[in-house]
Amino acid sequence: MDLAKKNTLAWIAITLILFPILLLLGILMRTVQANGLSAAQEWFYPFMTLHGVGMVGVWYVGAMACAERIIAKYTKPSAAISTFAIVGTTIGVVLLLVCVLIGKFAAGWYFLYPLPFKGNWPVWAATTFLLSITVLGATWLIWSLDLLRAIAQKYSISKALGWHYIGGATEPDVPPAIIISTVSLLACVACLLAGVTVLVLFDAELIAGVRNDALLVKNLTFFFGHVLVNLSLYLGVAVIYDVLPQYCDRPWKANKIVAISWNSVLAIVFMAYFHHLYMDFVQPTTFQYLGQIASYMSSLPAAVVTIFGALALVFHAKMRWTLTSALFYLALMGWAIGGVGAVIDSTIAVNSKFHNTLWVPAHFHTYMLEGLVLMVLGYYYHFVQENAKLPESWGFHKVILSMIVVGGYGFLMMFYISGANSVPRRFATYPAEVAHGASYSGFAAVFATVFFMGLLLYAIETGKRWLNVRG
Amino acid sequence: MFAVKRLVGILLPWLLAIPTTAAIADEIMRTEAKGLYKSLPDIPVQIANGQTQPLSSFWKDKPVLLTLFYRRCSGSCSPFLMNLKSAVEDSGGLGDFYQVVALSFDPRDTLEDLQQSAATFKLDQSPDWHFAVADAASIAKIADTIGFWFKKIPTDQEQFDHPSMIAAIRDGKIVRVLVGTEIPHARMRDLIYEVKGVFVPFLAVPGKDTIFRCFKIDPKTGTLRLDWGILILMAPALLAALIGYFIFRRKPAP
Ligand code: HEM
Ligand SMILES: [Cu+2]
Repeated sequence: MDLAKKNTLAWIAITLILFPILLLLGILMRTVQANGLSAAQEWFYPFMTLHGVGMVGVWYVGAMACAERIIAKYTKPSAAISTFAIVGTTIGVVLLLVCVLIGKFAAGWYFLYPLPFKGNWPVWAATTFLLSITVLGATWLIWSLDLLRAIAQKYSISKALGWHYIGGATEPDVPPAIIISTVSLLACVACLLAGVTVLVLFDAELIAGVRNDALLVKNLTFFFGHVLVNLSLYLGVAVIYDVLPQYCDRPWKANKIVAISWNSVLAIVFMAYFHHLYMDFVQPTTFQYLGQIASYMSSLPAAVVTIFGALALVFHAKMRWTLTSALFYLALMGWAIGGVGAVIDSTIAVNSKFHNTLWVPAHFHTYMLEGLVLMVLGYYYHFVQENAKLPESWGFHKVILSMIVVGGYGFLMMFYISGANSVPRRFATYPAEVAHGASYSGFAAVFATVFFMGLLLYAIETGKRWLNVRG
Repeated sequence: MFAVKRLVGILLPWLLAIPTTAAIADEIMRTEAKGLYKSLPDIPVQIANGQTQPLSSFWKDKPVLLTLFYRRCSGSCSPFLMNLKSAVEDSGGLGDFYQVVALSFDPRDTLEDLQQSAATFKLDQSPDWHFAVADAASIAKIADTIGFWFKKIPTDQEQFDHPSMIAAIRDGKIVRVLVGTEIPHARMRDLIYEVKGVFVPFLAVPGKDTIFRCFKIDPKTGTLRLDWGILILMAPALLAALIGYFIFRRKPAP
């Protein structure tokens, strides 16, 4: 087996080790919020930070690993850089574990300035955290640049972005996965550069003692954080465009509409993050309105075109339902549902009520947990099964899928209900005014445990094939 | 090994020093925030010409910059009042938008002391500077509201330990407080905008200048202007476009 494929296997292993651990931290948090496990209370915020950064990181690299494999079908990414990405990510994760588990660093996943300097943790914990993010950011930047380089070896920029489709041509064929990956990777480079800028500003304060403009750092931080999460999802979608057709015996081709929708994403995705700053009265009003427009424009067209395309693909097709195709289908559904929740919250009038309630984790957990996670898990299973070709039991897989759906949406529903009932996010325990938050948390912990069991069964199915492929 | 030691030697003092400087700035900000938006108690004060009037009679006329001092201070009071005078002259608007009330917190200060103080700073002819005294109980109420404190120095019964503060009062409410003997002009301008009723959407953190602000406030007109920070905000996207251009510049192999 070649190195590139071995690397994909390594990513599968890394994901399937880290995800259950981070998930258990999530269940632990909901248990604490339900007034259980009072001994773990003081760990709520360190765990919340680890869970948040960890999950965002794991599913970003998961999506990248899948996209890399898809891109490798058409052109040749560097296997050495792919290995480098694994090493760099591992180092970053170790640093992260150290600063949270030993240093009790707890500034939340987007470490909003100046919190890292102000918390109850030692200075070294904050520096180690920043170092971890630096290592991860630099590694991922190099990885993204290499994938872009690989695409550029085969496609010119106008082909890679499908501009000829927009111009009315139908030839040459460019796989939609290439168009979407190019859009996502260009966005990735920008957001990682924004991340680097944030880190430089933090370091300047730490080392040279200068002071930063909080508004600038907050803008850059969400440029980094929002776009990173957003493009992870888009990379996952690229994978679906490429793999789902194999289960319907029909091609899914790019066309004018697909090209227009993804180019409009690229044009406007950098302004959507303004919706994270609606509550910041210092932010210029123009940015606020741009934020609302960009939030709609960078999500709706691409989602509508994709979901309509997927439905057209599946409709009356000789569909082969397997764990992979079902996960993909469910993932698109989760993306759509979470997307609606997100668009609702990115509407200024609504945001002034929902900001920092559990509605926020509700919608982003929807398109991550029932969207991106399922896209990546679907592809992982596809990859190992394609190589191992072991017999499959659709009945057993339906059990896994049901646990993932029932557990997942039950867990999410508790977030939505709490959010709509004014329960704030990021409260380790709930004060009397929002005491109802505690009972929702209890139900959520139970549902999340069902999801967890489903995940374990999935891991057994994928693990068997993984071992078989590994030989 | 040697290199590591050196690196630690270079970094350690920084790492240790940062929390302390940050702590001082934090302390100042906390004091400045303590009294914000509280209503000032309306105490009777006696001004240098002997007249007694309620403190509210000042803010009913115009917003007030209120400060506390005492005549015999051999420490910060004199330099502070000098700084205040020059900051006021520099920023303009005295008499048009606001007046200054310098209230003595030492019950021993007499009307004569007030007149002398005014004369020392050549402010005795200024209609918008008022030097005043009040009884101890009233002073205590004011000090408590704006977050001011003072205590006798054990070795010298004449002298007090105390901070230097300016409280900006509009319609009887504290709208902004500055702490420190030095009065940076940018912070003074913000204070005066606030006292005029112009909303200043950001606070300069005391002690250091902020690098790369998104906006600055125009000292003449009070309008917000873009600053260098905005350019930094656009840099990642522009740089990414440039990198994209270079990556895709070469013709792909056929
Ligand atoms: C069943 C699985 C999961 C459970 C039980 C879970 C649970 C939680 C809980 C309880 C919180 C804190 C909510 C609060 O603010 O009170 C949280 C926050 C968060 N979770 Fe999850 N989560 C799960 C899956 C995921 C996934 C797949 C992602 C992928 C990105 C993710 C990303 C995050 C992030 C970014 C935060 C915010 C952390 C912060 O506020 O700094 N979670 N999660
Ligand atoms: Cu003094």
